[in-house]
Amino acid sequence: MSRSTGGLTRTIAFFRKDLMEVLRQPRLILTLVIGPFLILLAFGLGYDSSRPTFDTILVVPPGSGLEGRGGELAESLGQGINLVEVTTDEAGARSKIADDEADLLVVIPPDSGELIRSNQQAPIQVYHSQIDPFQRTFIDLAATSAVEELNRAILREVVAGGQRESEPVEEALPIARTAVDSMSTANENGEPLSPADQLALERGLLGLGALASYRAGLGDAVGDTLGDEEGGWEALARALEGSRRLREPGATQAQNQETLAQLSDDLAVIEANLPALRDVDPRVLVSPFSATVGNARGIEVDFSHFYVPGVVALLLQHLAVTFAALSVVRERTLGSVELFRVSPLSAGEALTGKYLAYLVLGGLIATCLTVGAMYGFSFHVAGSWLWYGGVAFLVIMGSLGAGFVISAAVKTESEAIQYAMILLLISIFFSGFFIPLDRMNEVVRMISYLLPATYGIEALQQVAFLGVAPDPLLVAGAAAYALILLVVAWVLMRRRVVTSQKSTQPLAKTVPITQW
Amino acid sequence: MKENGATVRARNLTHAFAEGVGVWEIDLDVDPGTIFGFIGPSGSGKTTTIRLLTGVIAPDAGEITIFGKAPARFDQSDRAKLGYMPQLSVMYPHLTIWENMVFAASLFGMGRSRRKSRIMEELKAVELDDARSRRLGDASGGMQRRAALAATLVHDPELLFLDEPTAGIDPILRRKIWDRLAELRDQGRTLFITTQYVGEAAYCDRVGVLAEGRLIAVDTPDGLRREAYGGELLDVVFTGPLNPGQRDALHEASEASQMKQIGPGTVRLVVPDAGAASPRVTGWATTAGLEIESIEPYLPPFDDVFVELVSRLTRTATETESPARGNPVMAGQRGGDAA
Repeated sequence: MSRSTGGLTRTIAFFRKDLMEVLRQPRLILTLVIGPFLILLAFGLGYDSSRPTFDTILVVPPGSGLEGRGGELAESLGQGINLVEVTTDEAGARSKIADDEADLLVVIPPDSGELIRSNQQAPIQVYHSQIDPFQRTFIDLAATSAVEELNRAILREVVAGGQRESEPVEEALPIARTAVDSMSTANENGEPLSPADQLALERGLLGLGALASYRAGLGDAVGDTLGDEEGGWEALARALEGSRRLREPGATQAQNQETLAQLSDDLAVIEANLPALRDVDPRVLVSPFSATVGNARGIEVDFSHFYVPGVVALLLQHLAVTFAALSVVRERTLGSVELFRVSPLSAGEALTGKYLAYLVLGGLIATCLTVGAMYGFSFHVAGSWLWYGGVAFLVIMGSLGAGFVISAAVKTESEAIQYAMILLLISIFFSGFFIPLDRMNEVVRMISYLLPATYGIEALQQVAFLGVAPDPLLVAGAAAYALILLVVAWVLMRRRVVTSQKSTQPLAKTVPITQW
Repeated sequence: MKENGATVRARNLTHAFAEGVGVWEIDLDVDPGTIFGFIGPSGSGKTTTIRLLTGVIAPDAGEITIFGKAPARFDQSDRAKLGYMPQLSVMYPHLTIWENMVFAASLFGMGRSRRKSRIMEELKAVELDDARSRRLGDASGGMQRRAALAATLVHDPELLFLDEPTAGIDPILRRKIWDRLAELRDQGRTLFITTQYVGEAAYCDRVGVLAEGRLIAVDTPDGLRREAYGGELLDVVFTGPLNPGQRDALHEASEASQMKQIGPGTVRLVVPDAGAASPRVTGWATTAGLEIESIEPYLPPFDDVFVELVSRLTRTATETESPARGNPVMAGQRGGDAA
């Protein structure tokens, strides 16, 4: 038999033996494949990705200026807040929070009206009883949102009040208009301006002064948004200035005529802007902008789909690492390695057979997981199946290398399984499965890139969701990782099956002759 | 010891795992077409020696040649000529006996067409052909041992290293296995076999006795008997009892180094050559007017031979330092007392 034929026979022998060994152990497959898959599945199905809602007690003490209006405020507290009680009893509410009868306590300060009138913010105190930092983050968001909603609610009332006050302003406008028309006629006829008309104009403009106050209340930004396109605010200011000039002694007829013409124009502009100012929704005035969020790529990925590539990559890594490590450790504990050293077996033949066996096994498992996700969760791969398979191949190759390296450090099968489980745990945290890689610092990210799943998760997500070829850097990284570990695995295998070992352990202890 | 022509040759072979644990200064030759038995108690260093000879572990000192070549320099064709059956089962419990055989045959490069008939042949030889579909893990210890032996032989090796091949096997099957090993020897194969069953030494052409990591004796089975008792044993049964004077005269006339009365009219003599001593004893009896009922050489079982060898070593070991700590036991095992 030629050397190459013999080598092929040995490679196939290892391929068949390793494959059969795994397939003959359904409990091992159940533990290693279905176990972690079911855990992740249960987590995926059971995890509520929506923002949590907190049962909230609102304390509105007497003198706060908001007493008796809890019901109105309750509607304004925003998402995440479920108002279960409005009370004036802060001590009682605190004890309920301490007894976990509610999640949040929002306390309006008793002197809030006074503080605001004295140009100070009124601090709203929010209490909770959570120890979970994640829940605490959600509470911070919900509390901030609730306080902002309260502020907006109050502001909406102010705006609505301002709009109500603009109605007398509208009545004052015709008075001012009549006075300007009368004074214009008199001026054109060379007659002096009537003091009664001047008084009427000033009354009218006084009414418009309320509008000026209203503008000041809204703030420039909102006011400008509403009116300045038509020059409303400038028109009011010019009208007030024109009225002042008409009262000045020594003005010529021509000057008065010009002032009155300008007044007439300004009143027209104010008249045009007034309905818009009055009819606009207070909510729009207070919150003129709203946001809608959309994906620029036109892709929307829901939670269950998003985690499928991660689960596939993680399980492939876990299985490949475990099977590879177990395979070598079992041969060492059985003593088969001794037989290999005596036989014509080369490290390359043994390793090739093992890689092929576990690649086939990993490929079958990847196919089952992906098909299961497609039919069970409507998972869809937008990109090329060739790339999807290629990335899975690299993940398995890298993981097998890692498994063979781990096998050098462990002595028993249970140790091998423990190492594989630790690697799985590390991967869940550091591979980008749950926490995006860019949320980790650079040192920790180096650990991430020691895990085959890190490359696999990101690359599979790109293929499955973006429908593009994976980032060449990721592919190159995964390939380099697999290649380096393949070489290391070959060196270790060569030491195991070929080189005579400087053994440090006898198979049995020497018995003194006196104890025979 | 022979310097040329030996299939296996070891000189000054030493490998120490720790203080007092290992093998030291092993010298041996295994001739082609012979069975070399390696006998010693558990922990005496038999497996370590076999691992050194097969190249599984490297020696600290000394030289080994197999087919005239050091194991460390073996290529694939050299290894294909070896068969090794380790002491512990190295087969896969989740595979069937047949699948294990296929793996073992493939390991030595045997293709599908050739291995099928060979596997059946070897399984029949160890009476496992009907159990070939059974998972190895479900087979009894004895069946696993037989399967391991069949797997070792399947590629038809020229040199076999068998580490306790009959351990855990019933006496009838043990005998069958030894018949098979003798058959292989007769076909020209060389076998190096370790065993704890000292009685099996009788099946070997040459036997090495290992104690505390040192080879204390190497000889043929008969040679070991002589070595153990200081000569050959001759049992003489008289029709009546001997008086002390007659016993002394017989001792002198037979030229025996030792004489022991084992019955009223029965004595056991230790003589250099039983064949030469018999006429002398018969002549003396005629002269002395005594009638001999029977006179024949006595072949003690190897269990007794080894007990004798060991008891001598024990006495020596307790009197002096142990060999692992530098005491030359070899000197103590030479010569000595008869039964």
